[in-house]
Amino acid sequence: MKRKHVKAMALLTAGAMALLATGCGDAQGSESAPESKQEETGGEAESPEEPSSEEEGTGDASSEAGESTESGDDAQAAYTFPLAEPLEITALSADFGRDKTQWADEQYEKYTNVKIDWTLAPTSDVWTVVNLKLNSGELPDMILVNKTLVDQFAGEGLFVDFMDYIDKMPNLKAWMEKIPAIYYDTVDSEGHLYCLTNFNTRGQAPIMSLYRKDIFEKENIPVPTTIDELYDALVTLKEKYPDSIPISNRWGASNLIGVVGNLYQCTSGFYLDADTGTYEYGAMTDKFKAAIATLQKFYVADLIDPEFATVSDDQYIDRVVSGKVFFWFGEYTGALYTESKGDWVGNGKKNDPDFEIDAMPFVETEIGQGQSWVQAPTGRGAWSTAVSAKSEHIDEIMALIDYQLSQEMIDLVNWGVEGETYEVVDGEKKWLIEPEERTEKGLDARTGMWIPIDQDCYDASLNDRSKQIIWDANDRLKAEDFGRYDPKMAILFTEEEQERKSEVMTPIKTYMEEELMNFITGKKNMEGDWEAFKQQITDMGYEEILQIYRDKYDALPEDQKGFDKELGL
Amino acid sequence: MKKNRFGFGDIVIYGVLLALMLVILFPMIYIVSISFSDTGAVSRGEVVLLPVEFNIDAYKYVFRDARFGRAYANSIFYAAGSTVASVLLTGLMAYPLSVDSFSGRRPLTIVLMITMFFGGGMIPTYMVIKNLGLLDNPLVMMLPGAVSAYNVIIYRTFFQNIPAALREAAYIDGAGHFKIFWKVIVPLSKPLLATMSLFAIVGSWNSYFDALIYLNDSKMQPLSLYLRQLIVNMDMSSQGMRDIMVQINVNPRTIRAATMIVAMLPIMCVYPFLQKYFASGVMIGSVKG
Repeated sequence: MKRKHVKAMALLTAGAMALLATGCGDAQGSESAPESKQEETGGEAESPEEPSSEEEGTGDASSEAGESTESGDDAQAAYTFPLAEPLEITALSADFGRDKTQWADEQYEKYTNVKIDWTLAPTSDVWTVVNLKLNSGELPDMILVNKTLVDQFAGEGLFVDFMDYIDKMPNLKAWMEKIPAIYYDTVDSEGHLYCLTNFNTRGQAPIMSLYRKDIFEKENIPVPTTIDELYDALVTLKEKYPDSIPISNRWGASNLIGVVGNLYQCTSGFYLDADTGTYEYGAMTDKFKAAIATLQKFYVADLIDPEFATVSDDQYIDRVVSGKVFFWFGEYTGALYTESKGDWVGNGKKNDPDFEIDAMPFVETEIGQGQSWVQAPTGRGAWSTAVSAKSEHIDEIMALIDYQLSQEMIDLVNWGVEGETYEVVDGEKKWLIEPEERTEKGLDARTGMWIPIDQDCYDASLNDRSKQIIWDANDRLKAEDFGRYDPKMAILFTEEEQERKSEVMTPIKTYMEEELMNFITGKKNMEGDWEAFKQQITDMGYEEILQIYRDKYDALPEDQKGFDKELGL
Repeated sequence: MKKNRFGFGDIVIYGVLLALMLVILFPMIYIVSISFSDTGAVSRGEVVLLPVEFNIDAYKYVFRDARFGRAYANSIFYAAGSTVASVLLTGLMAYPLSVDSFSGRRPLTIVLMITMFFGGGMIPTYMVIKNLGLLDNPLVMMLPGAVSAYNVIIYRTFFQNIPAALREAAYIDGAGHFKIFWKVIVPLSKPLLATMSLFAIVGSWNSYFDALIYLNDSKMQPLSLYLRQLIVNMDMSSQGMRDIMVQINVNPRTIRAATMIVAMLPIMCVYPFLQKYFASGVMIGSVKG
């Protein structure tokens, strides 16, 4: 068991940043990006140029260096690694349960001749430490930041602008070419890039519709394809299994509302609507009304956990593995089949040998194809790296960051050394060492400071069955038939606008949360009471804020409108 | 009926107390049981009161983790150091203030009082600590908080309640201030010292914030910080980090529980021995003798 746990810990360190980087948005994808205080982003921000030339010193190393290291000839790396002279720099990041100097750090030093003196703050409190450093002006050479902090402190000239060095950063250019969001996520209204968002080599669909395959098969119920078929199927099951809770939920009512809202192609808050081509406020749309009506219909028929708003994680998992739950509108698939003792199916089988959960296509609703939130490759600036403007080694650090983005280094910090920690079989990398040893060696891309995180590396730690489900999902994603994507550019508010927004929207949110519960549980009538509900929200003045969203969206240049569908797959 | 001293009222009282005891005891027993149970059984919700599929894997894991051992040793070191520093320095500060003939009493007390009501704030304090060279220095866990004005006042009040005649007698016998302090005041202040030591130990054992901001090197982390990481890292549902939590798929409840038990042990061991002082000690300063 201890090994299993260590394995899980390894997954934490290896995968956490990957997920952190890309998963910080709500599962519902509501309003998508972090709201930062910033001037209107109308200012024309130059898009990064063509990828650039083969960087010296990186080309030979990896047999399968991807497109990312190929480059044009208008950019030239300023330094070659390993550096001729040893260099020592300081950096602050989150520790994710690891020690300061590990095998990976030694390898890193060998490859680069750069020694990084890490300050590792406990992950749970890392932002307190970062804030303290920013406020006291005592910055290390490289520091973990987020977009909001950067907006707040960039004016004081604390950070280096990456765009000043872009011509000397061929790998960064190539990555921006592949995943434009790397640039758009953190660029400010004047085109400065004061921090580099964390990103993964590709995005994915982390949430799938799931069902209890064995139960459906046993009762001879075909996999539902529409919301009505689903309703009928669950009603039948509920009759046969009166003790069951066909649909449970965790993380509060907003999670269920969010997932079902996504199914109906909307969210409860402000969101960019694919049909109207502009911003909408969820509660006012017919889509959202249909979503709530569905929830009510399911709830009233006893298909939804009566405690759906308050179930804790532990209770939820208990319900799943004891076989009470038959269907999930949308759930992360990572916990289904794993080698750890917490896996759902493994524990479920202890209670019922036939226990089987599988993913299924999102059902069709009155609105059309059911959708699900898609995790972009970038972290939307929620976890970024900045370089101190006071550093004495800015040129070298910029070159180092660029070198870090080469395939050679991506492999090193994610996988280690070929033949020692991993092998390549049929073009696919496979681990040679146990997860336990990976953690000891520090093979976790330095929890996000050594970007990007190789998504394949993370997936290689999953059980084949889980992998299959995720890959199936991503294959289906390519067809774009169920993905709900983030907008290309987040709508950014000035400080006053931000204040005004919370002034207006906070009471509305509170009111809405309360009322939605009344609608879902059937205490209020969808036909009779919904109009009054909408009227109340209108009276409370949501339109003013919606107008700001729309104006700002209209002011965006054409190429920054629409959705960010680039998953880097 | 009246002869029977154990009347209805007593039954109610004992009943309420018993219920209260169960309410307090149950979470403890539950945590102990979880720590000795199989992770799978915990995730299936089978553990209610007693361990299911008894094993000590969680403890093995906890004790094998080098970080835990290191943090534990650090915490004991910090607790011991800060307790000694706190009791010694506060005592030395409070003693002169308790002597009537000391002319600097008033101004010193005023200076002390100011620190009770005004603080510099986190960032200036951080700068001071940094300029004192205390960053990444174990002393930062012992010195900055050693003397608190509030404690000095409690000490002083206690010392003042020791009859001045004792001091004067010692003085006539040729003892200086230090000798009086060590040979007369300290031996008579054992309840005070025991109580304040306990406060200091518990305070130091539970504090994590100073360690968080002043100690950059994870090798110096105290147990509280380690625990915090363990528990907060694993419980990220509130922080929008759901997918991590799901995908790492740890069922850490057994390990969390085991770690909590082990971390609680020292304090639980110290408590019973200091409790008799503690009971009288919390009254210190409240009654004029």
